[in-house]
Amino acid sequence: MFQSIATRSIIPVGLAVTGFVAVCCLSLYSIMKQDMIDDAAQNGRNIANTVVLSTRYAMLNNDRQNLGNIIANIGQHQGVEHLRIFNHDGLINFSRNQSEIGHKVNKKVEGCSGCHSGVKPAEQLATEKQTRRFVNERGVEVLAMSQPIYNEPSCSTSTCHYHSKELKVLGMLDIGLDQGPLQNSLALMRYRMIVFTLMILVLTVGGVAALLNRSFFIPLKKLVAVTSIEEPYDSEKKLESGYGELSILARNFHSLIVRLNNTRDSLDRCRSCSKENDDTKAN
Amino acid sequence: MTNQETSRELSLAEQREALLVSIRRLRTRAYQGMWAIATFACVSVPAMLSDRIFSPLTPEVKKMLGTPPTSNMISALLVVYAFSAILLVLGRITNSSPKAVSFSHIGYLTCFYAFYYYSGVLPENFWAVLVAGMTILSLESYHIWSLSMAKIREDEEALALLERRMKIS
Repeated sequence: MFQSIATRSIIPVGLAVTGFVAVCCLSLYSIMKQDMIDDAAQNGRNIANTVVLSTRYAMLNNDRQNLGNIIANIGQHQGVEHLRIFNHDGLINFSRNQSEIGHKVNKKVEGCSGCHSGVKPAEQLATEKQTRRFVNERGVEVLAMSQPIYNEPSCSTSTCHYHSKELKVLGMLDIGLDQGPLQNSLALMRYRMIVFTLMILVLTVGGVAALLNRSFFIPLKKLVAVTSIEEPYDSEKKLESGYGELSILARNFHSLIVRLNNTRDSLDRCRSCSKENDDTKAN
Repeated sequence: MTNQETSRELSLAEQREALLVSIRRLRTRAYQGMWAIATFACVSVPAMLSDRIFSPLTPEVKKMLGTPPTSNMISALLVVYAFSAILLVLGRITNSSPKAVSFSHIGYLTCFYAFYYYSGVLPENFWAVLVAGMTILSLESYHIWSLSMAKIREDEEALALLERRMKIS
């Protein structure tokens, strides 16, 4: 099977096209996935920033009831998995989930280790390090963002409550968004790309195969049939013109056979003539 | 038996031996590509399990190595590399070049694994490198295999002819 010209022509083309299209699609999918995750993270950071700005006035006035209501209301929004504010020591003061209020957050989790990996916690953190992805206890894939709440002059000079000037970070706002819709979009994109890739492959390999078949393999088969030694040679049997070089080859073969037949006929005639002459002489 | 006949027979035997050696060498060469594919598969196994078997790079090591290239840049480079390598192999197929399977591709592909790992995006890009490697190495292997098989057939025909001549003499 591997020795036929058809197989030898189709395999390298099919392999090269299939492989390259697959590499391009996989790389493209990976790039698009990363872009979509980056967009989702940016969107999450914007939400976190909006929450911090919304709660700023309540924080300055030390209005804890109002602050708790804001957190509870935003936390009910579809797609928000968790929303909490914890202080400098990691104690959760406000949360969508009432049961975790008063508990301490784990500083060893990925979102905290960015600042808390060293002996002294970092005061500033790169934007991309404020984001973390994990699967929560309910089995939901979560994209979480931590937004530091920095100490401002208005915080340290407020009359109602007081934060030391030396304290750079007062606390953190931690928000987690459900990644389900993003994963669904990615899965849909993946299936569409697979279908698109398969269509390209079928069209490319099928197109090449059809063209090769039409312009090469069919005339080649006919040429093989015409020149086959098993078949008794029929001088009228020729390959139609229109197949380029293969038609020329068939015509050359045909003229060779015609010349051979003519020579054979001439020889037969000569033999019969000489036999007749011999018979005449003998009589 | 004359001296001339003896030397002719010796020469035929030598030719036969040379053809048999050539066929053996070609048979080994025909399956050389399989070794390259197997080696690449072996390299790919730890890459596939990288998040489980390799510990994350420490901040000191990351600091020493510097800023990693972006995953988009590595992916663009992978596509360019795959395109060039496939084009080169197709060129070799067109010219029937007898150049052996180049194991250097395994080195290049391992570098891609290393760069993706260093950038922290190897699990997302593992399949792209694997498919690129398998395509390039399979094409090279197929080219060397088909070329060697054609030469083996030629040698076997010459051997059959030679053996007929030896029987007659």
